[in-house]
Amino acid sequence: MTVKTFFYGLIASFGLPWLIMLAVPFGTMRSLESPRFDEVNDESTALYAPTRGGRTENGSLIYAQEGCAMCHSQVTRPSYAGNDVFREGQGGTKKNPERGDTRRITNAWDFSNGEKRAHIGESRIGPDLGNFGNRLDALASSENHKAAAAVGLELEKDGVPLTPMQIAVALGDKAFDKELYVYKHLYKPRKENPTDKRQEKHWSVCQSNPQFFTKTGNYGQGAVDAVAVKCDKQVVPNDNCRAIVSYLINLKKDGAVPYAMQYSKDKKKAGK
Amino acid sequence: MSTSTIPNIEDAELRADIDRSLRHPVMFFFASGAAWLAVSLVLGILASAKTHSPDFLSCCACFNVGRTMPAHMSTLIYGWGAQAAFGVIIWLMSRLSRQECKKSGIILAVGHFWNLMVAVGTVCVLAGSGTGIVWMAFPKSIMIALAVAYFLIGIWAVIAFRVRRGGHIYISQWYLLAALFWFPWIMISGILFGQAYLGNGHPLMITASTAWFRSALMFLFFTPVAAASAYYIAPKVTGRPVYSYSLAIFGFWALAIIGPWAGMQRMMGTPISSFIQFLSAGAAVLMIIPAIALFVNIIKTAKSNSDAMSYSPSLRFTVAGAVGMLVFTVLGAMMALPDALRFTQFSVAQYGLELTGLLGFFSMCMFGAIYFIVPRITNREWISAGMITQHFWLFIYGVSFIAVFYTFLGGFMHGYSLEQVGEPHSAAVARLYPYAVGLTTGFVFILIATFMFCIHLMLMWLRLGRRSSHPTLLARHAHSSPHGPEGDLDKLESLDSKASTN
Amino acid sequence: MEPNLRDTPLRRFNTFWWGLALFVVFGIACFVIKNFFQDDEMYSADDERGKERIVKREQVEAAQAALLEFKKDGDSVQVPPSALFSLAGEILETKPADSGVPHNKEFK
Repeated sequence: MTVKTFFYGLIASFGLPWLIMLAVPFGTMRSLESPRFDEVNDESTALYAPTRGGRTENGSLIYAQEGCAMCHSQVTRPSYAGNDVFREGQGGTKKNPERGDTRRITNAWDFSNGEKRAHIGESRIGPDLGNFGNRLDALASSENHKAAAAVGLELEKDGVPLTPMQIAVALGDKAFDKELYVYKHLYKPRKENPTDKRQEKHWSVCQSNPQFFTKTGNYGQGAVDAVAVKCDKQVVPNDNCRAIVSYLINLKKDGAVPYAMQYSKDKKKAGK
Repeated sequence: MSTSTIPNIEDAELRADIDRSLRHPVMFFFASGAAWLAVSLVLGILASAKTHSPDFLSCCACFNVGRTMPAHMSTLIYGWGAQAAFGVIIWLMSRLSRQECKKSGIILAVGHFWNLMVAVGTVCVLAGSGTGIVWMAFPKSIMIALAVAYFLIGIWAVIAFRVRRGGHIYISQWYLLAALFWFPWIMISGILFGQAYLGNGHPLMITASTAWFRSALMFLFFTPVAAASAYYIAPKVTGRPVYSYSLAIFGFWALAIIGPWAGMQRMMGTPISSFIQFLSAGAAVLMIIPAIALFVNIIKTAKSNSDAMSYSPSLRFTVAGAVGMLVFTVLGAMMALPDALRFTQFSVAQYGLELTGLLGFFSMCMFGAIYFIVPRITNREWISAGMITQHFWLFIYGVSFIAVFYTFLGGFMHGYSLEQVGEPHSAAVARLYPYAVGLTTGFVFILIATFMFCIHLMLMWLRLGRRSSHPTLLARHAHSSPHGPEGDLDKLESLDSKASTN
Repeated sequence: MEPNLRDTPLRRFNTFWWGLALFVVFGIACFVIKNFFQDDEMYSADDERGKERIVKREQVEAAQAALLEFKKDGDSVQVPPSALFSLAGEILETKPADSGVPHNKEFK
């Protein structure tokens, strides 16, 4: 083997996989074409281009910097790669009041909504966060129902059940505050989590994040979003905290997809 | 002592000249690398402790897993791994090419710059300004600075190869040359596709390119450097040739052809093209082929002189490294099979596998090289065979424990629990607890071994080693030694001079 | 020892610059290959939805413009608004004529 053949061999053996696996897919996937809903199967011709609310870009950057992806994933894998899609709450929910079973695998358009990097995740030491927003909405809805029942609020109007939004508005101050719930979790994760019935200690091993909070003087009625009062000072979330919480509560990857992209065995055509 | 022939004396003088010319940069790389290894292990213990005892040191955000874990991996790779590799590369290439190093000053200066960049990068990560990518956590500017520094360290080894005296090219030289070629291509691809093109590429492909980067760095930089070291140490210490040169060349090309395809199996099930995921999984399984080639060659070479294993620290560490490579690739292959990947992809098995490769394979080979090289460049022998033995056994114990208990057992148990659809996530967290404690324990053993190694190395750096005619060996020779009578060099010289005056 | 004929300053110089060139070529290759295989526009959900909205707006404007065209409806005629603009100008230039009905107030 001469040095020349050695280098040609190296260039070929490295260059081919580099081209096929990295450089070419990177370039071509940059301008992914949006699929369209189908007139026959979906009764719609709209474009499938999901967008996400909240401070996605800021929040995603802080999510990366704080290393949340070390312990949390954000992907629901197809059944050949794992049981993710069957787990309640991970890829969607079985009991969505409007759409029924919304569980689905993640697709490429779920990640192209303002985020620059897809936080697939290193491990699942903590739960998958791909549909954290949905789980939080479901929690808010059930808590509001309980609060409404406690206050004696009517949950129906003219025979039609109130929507979660209507209940929240009716409850006013007593409505479940999603942001505050997450602020408290980020501040002291083991104090606010509902205990698992089978275990006695709070199970979360999430890290406390003091860097997301500042202390201000405790005066007047106190800040609305104060998570705690400590040594006569209020602990309030800073801007980074607001950004990442806004990002987290908008993490939803269970929106409707065109019929051609549904991989569930129970998929139904629209109108049937 | 028998009279040596003139070529042997010239050879020995050339070797001594080469060692003297490289003394400062190589010792610097080894010593600072060892220090970074200790730092990395401390950060690793912190990260591991925070997964099973999250309220430990919860006052400060810099101790959170999200920051200490990337800092730990970054210091392990760029602080210890890269610097140990650089030291071995420049010494080995110079020796095998029979070229004195004329640019030691530049290499030493750039080495200091490398350390500075790693330190700044680590501080950035701990302060919350990292990128969040595990093997590329340093900010982009630091990574670019490291790439430039690499060029100014590695090019001299390439030049040494190019101006070598004609003749046989050793298998180690092929491996080193390949590592020197692959590293910049991988670094530049990783920096561009993983960091610089942020906002200019699909988020999934940016993440996929970082997954590829991680695997490519392991298989195409750390593996060839460790293999080069093993292919040098084994024949050198045993005094026998490599068992099969053609098997070695086959193993090299198998690594070159298969290695670059692996890495994307970590993206299995994500919405990137399927062929990418499955090609990588296949490549990860096929990596067993070059691993077996290396393992067979090194073990057969070592066995050709079975005494050497019992007394040579270099050979012992190197053979352990070869075993480590086999374990690493077999575990990796098992985990890459799609039926197993569903369990291991998001369990702790992936991190454990990286540790097995970096510590159990690469680090062991580097220790073997360091125990061989340092006496030659400092002209002193290691002070304590006992410390070397302790280093070996404690390190082996820690790494084996991590490989078996944490990676294999913990990885599959954790993954199995994650796959149980009906169970809440708290069950997986509870299942992980003992394995996380096991990881911390394994790290503690490795840290103790590393402290011993660091102290030993620092003493050698300060030229406080033994001045002796005999190398420090782990067992006494049963028969008479080719090195002559054992003893302190000064005393032997004074005895000699007394004998000659009498 | 025999002198090493391969070790010349030129060879060393060459190797250094070839090495640097290779380094730079890796970067250029990444850049060129990616740019060669990419389309000019990067996917953006907002832009895609924007394109849909533009199509809809054009459809709406065309439909509205169609309603304002010239039409004869029995005795009356529908004209586009622009046809009356000149008429409006003429109306502005006319001066008010005496209507013959006295005012309530006298303006001095």
